[in-house]
Amino acid sequence: MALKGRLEELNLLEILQIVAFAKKTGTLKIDGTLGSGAILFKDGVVLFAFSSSTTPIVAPLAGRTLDESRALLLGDEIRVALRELVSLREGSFEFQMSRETPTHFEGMDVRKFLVTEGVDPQELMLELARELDNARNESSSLLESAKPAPKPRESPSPAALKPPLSEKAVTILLVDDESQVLEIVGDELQRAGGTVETAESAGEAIERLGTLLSSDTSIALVTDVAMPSSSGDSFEGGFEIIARLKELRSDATAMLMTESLSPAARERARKLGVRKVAFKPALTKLDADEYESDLRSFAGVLIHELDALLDGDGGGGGGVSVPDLNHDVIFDFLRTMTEQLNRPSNGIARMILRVGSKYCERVVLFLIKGQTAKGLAGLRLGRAAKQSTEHARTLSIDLQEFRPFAEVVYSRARVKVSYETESLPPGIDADRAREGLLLPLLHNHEVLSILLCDNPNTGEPLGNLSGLSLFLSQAGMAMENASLHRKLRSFENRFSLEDQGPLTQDLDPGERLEPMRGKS
Amino acid sequence: MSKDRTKQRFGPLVIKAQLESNARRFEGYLTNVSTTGAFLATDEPPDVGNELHIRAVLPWKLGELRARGRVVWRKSSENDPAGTPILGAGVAFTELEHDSEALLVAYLERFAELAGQLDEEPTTP
Repeated sequence: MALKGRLEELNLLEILQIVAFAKKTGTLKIDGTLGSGAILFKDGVVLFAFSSSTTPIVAPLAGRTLDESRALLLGDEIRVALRELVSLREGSFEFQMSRETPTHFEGMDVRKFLVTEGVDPQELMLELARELDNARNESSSLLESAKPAPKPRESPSPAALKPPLSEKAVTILLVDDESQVLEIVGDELQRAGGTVETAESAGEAIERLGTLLSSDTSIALVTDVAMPSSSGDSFEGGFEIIARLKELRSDATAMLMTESLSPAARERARKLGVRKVAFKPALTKLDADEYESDLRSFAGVLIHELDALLDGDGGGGGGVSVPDLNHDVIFDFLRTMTEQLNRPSNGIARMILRVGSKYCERVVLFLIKGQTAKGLAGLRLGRAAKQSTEHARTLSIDLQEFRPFAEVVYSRARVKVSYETESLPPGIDADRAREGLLLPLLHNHEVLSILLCDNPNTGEPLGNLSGLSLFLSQAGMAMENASLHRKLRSFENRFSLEDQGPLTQDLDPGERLEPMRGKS
Repeated sequence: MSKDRTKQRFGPLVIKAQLESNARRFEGYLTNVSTTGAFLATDEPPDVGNELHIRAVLPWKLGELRARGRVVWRKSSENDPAGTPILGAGVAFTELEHDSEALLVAYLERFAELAGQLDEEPTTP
């Protein structure tokens, strides 16, 4: 009977252990969704390994006598192939036993390739297991780092190279009672080619509207919602400005900026003919650098949406079909945040919290370290980000003592927790929440982190969190890619240095590659 | 597979473990695992006689192994400077906590069952 099955059920490390334990001879073929390859065994020890990327390199050496340097190259290629194959977690495998040592593979004469004594499987598996753990630790560090995103000024975006608003014959009236928003967002709008005027209050904005419209200027209004009205009897001055604009010019473009949008406010915006809402970053105000960075990222979203609106994609007028504002906003926000994942060093934890906070009132991110879920960062509606994160960092949950966390780790799937039947871990207060959801962030198919989401302020049931799940899966992949890129850079450095002479460079001990050692 | 076979030291099993010894927390890998003990692969193995608390997540969603053990021998860079690259310590289990023994047996049996699929004679030369 051959050993065959799916990698999802039995990963390569486990298969290697089984073949080594059984001391079998034969060929293990792996056909993964992201790559393929084979490993040749004799009496349970590894003689050679091929992967999609190494086969083209080693194939020309098939059947040839190998000098020392080529033998070393082959040793390296075995390691590269095994690394690639171990990272495959989806696909099929089959171990085909043979009586004699395999001598051919895919038509290649591989006799000269085979490591004479084979590779000690215990050493090999420890090394591979350590590499996987190192990659996981790197990603943990990435999650724990919260460096602010680099400012767009430092590296001009493609949008900056071709200002999207430069050809729009319109004056953008930007209104916010927060001067920093006016300054930074206004600056970005101008850099995008827009003609911008600003107003710091509802009264000032209404006055400016009158002036601009009397000179027959086309206006695109971009306004904050939460500010005092001109009379001071309401704190939704943004709506007052939009209403006034629509009275004066019903077809004018209007866009809202807000930190959050209640159902009632959303309905009011619809009735006023607002087609787009952009969520402002409200989460990092205590850190000036991060807040500026977030505001500039936010301005990018705003410019993109404004550009689309001004291109005739509806600017208001209260058309027949009214889009689902919330759906559109969440979708756009997710798209922007997913793009930001391309730079995971910008602070993936912060990105996850920002996305999570669009779906629920409280989000807490935990890092799984051994058998403990350690609080890393948090956000809660109505509380300062710093306070929430400081509180999150006091949390340390033993997986065995709060089973839902352990369930997430073992099942690698989301777990819903009823607060009415499940006692919460120390330090987490349910408040009004009656349920919570634990979402896994997977790294190499293992749970690296867990995000707790619930609604302690209102006690509302949790909605559809599929967008958040999708973002977490993208975040996991971004970290895997970052880890892979670091490995590739290490390889590149090593080969470029080797070409210049002996190995005298300083390499990280964990990255240093030595010739494959035979079984002693 | 009988329970007795699980007492044999198995070859290349590798299970990541969290350890605590003398208030020091560290990570390592258990190999040669049986229900009586294991080899603990770690760069800084604890001294002979040291007590250890071991926690390790077993694969296939079996659960967590929790055990107490004692270091019975040690292979470090000092006492084996030119030797094997695998440093670590031999650990004898002194207590398998909760249902850990049953979990360990289930793990070893599952492993042997999979290996048993390779017991038949090869069909290709």
